[in-house]
Amino acid sequence: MIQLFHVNKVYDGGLWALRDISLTVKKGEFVFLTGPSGAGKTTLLKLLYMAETLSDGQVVIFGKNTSRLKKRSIPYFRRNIGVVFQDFKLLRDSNVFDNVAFALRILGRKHSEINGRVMEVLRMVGLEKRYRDVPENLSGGEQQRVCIARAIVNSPALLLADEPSGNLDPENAARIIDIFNQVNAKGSTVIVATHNVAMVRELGKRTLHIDNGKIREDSTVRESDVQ
Amino acid sequence: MFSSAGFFLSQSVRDFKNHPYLHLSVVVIISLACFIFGIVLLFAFNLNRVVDSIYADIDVTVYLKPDIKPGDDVYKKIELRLKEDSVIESLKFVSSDEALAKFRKEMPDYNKLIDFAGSNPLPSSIEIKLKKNTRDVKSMERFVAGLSRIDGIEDVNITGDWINRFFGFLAFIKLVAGIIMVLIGVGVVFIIYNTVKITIHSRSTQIEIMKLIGATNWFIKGPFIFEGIWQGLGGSLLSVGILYAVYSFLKNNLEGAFSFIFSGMRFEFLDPFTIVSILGGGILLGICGGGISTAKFLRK
Repeated sequence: MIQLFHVNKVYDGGLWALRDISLTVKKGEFVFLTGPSGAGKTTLLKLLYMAETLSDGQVVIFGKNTSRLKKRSIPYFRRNIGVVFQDFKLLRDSNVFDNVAFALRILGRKHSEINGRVMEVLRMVGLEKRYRDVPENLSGGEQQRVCIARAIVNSPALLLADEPSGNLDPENAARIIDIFNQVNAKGSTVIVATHNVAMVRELGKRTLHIDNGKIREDSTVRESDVQ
Repeated sequence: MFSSAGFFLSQSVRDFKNHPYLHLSVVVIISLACFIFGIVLLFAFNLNRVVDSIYADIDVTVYLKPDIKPGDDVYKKIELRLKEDSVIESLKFVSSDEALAKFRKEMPDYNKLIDFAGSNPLPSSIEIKLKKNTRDVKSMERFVAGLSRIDGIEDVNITGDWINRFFGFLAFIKLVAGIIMVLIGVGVVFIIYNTVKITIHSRSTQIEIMKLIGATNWFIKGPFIFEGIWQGLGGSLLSVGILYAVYSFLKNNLEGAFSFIFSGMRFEFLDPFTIVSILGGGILLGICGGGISTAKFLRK
């Protein structure tokens, strides 16, 4: 499903974000990325949904080498990936319904199908009564849930989430992880970057600990967390 | 496809509601561009009508030597020679008696002078109407020079020898109008460029999000193209409205003065084809604006 071979990412100005990353994530896996701020978690996710280009190495997703992907093919590639952005990236002028529906509209789905599916997903994230609100009228946690709803609405093969519980209270955080589990149970691969160690411990999923651009640990539960 | 078009349409209408001033500024600029174009067309359209009316009044009168009458060999030769010329539309023989009668009727104050002369001093003549498309200065000069060499013709007269001077003035007016057009055109392009820059800035985040979610370039462009259509249509309709107001003002205030110089001259508004062309041009301008403002981010 996902393979990274000796991936390096150096930003303009010589800042190393990732160093010699090699890893494999199988189809249907649920993986947490942990590590301190600036460790390279977000950069790794960005390489996966092609918001950043790698400096060196190879990234293969869905059997396609992202470096060789033609520019016009990138939108179609991204349609298989749902992304929960750290800064939400909601369309400011669109209401909750339209933000979520956008991911289906680009696929050319019918109105009736869009309406039904969007409301179903909004119920999952507990925002079915706020569907007419624009993002600026929502709290940070609610905006994050809209972002999550948009990421999962088209049942993507790969779901990437960057700090999805960062703005949520424990109850909503648990709800979101439950949604991720549901998506994962249906066959989607899920990769979540988080600081929430308690959540990672509780779930007992595969965890990649990144620090200073390198994978320091790849384990079901990190040894240091257990101690 | 159609569901996408419906989405683009609703998106564009909503964007108009959300950013009325931004869209209004684009509408005003397109309107300005269309107005400048339209006023030049209106000016050119009516100027051509003036020129046509002047050309229609141009006559050539050929004065014959004494005693030449229709039926004479010399007259037949002259008539044959004139009919061979492709620039002539019609000929009319005016005898010296007819000329005298006409003179007496039009200039009654001079009747005594004619009576005093005792005999008819006016020569017979042939009044020539030229074909419309040959009524330019050079063709006429060539034609008149040819007539002067024909045996039996005493003199040739063109009504309106001031026309040469008028056309010289017209060429000057056209040059000045052209220079003003270019200067205003450069100004409009500069304003459009800056407005597009502001538009680009306001749209950059939106475009980036759409790309990250997986929208194709065409899907991203769609609503902006529709917005461009609305802006173009709004701007061009506004310009046609202002043009009509300007036209009405000129017609009410200046037509009298013009008809004094050019009898029967009336200001006319642009014909339907030109109006549709202005609307089409405005829409095209709007679409180009929308396209340019998104293209920069879609190239990334």
